[in-house]
Amino acid sequence: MANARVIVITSGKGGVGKTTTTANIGMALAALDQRVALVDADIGLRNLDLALGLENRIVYDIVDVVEGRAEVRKALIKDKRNQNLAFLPAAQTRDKSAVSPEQMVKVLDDIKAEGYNFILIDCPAGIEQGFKNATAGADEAIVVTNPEMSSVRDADRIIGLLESQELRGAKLIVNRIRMKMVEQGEMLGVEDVQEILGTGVLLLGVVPDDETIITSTNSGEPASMSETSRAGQAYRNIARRLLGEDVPFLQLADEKQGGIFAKIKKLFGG
Amino acid sequence: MLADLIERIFGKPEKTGSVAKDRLRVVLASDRSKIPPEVMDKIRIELIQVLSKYLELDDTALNVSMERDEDSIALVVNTPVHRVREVKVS
Repeated sequence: MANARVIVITSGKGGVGKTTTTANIGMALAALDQRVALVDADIGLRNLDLALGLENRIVYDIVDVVEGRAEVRKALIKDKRNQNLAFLPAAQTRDKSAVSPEQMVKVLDDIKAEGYNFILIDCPAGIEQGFKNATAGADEAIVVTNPEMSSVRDADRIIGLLESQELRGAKLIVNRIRMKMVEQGEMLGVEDVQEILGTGVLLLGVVPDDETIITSTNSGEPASMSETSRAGQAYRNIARRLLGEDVPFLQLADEKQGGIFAKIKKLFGG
Repeated sequence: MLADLIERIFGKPEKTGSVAKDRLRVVLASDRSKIPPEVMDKIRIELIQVLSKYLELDDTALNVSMERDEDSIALVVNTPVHRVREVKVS
């Protein structure tokens, strides 16, 4: 029985990029030789399968495991692109009440027994039952927010709720930032978001708004698999930070200079 | 351009990034305070009652609000004082 790190990826608001973040960090960690299990806790609104490109391989889902129709080992889909990565899908035809927090903890224990280093849980939007299920067995939390008012407000609420569940020290990802707009003063910057949310969260990553996220989701290949995707680079950096590496954050200046040197720098930094 | 002219006369409008930041600060302060408006009204009325024992106030000008800096939330009471009453403290 290994000590898997169980991390819930949450945001409160929908559509800020939780599922994309889960898929990308999972893939990036797997590429760093970590054994990773991804759990889609958004029961009734299955989506992580699409982000991973594994939608055609689903046989069993989390509700099948909870209700005893399949063992977790059988239900976990092994990614053929990287054997380190496995995925437990959400049920599509049921709703959040199909799983209780206690059952979720049991599923996670079963996954831990399979020897994974990381279990990432893709949390549904909202603060109700689905949130409670997804956070029940987690011992760390990543809060994803966009530099946009309603998303930051919901992130603040979620951080409060996580703290009330003893999930302190949540890590923050500012997703879909447009550096040019920040520079022009027309978008909240990373520092603004951090200042507003206070010291309860630590910055884990900054992901630029990037069209490659759309194209990579279209093709079912997380952007972190692409060497040229800037968002993918940001996710790879996040994975390395999760492993304790000190990786510098995406700099505003990188986008300011459009020259060939900046482009080369982008490939390595970001 | 007309817009440029207006800007030159009235000064540049505030950037929306800092407008967003200011609005968020205010809304989060009230989100976090979790004090319903009725309770705020009650606090205000009772504060006036207590303060009026010692100070002569314009009770329509007493302003109570929740404000936030960094990690703490403060209750800020702002009121003009007309006169300090002479009260014997036993």
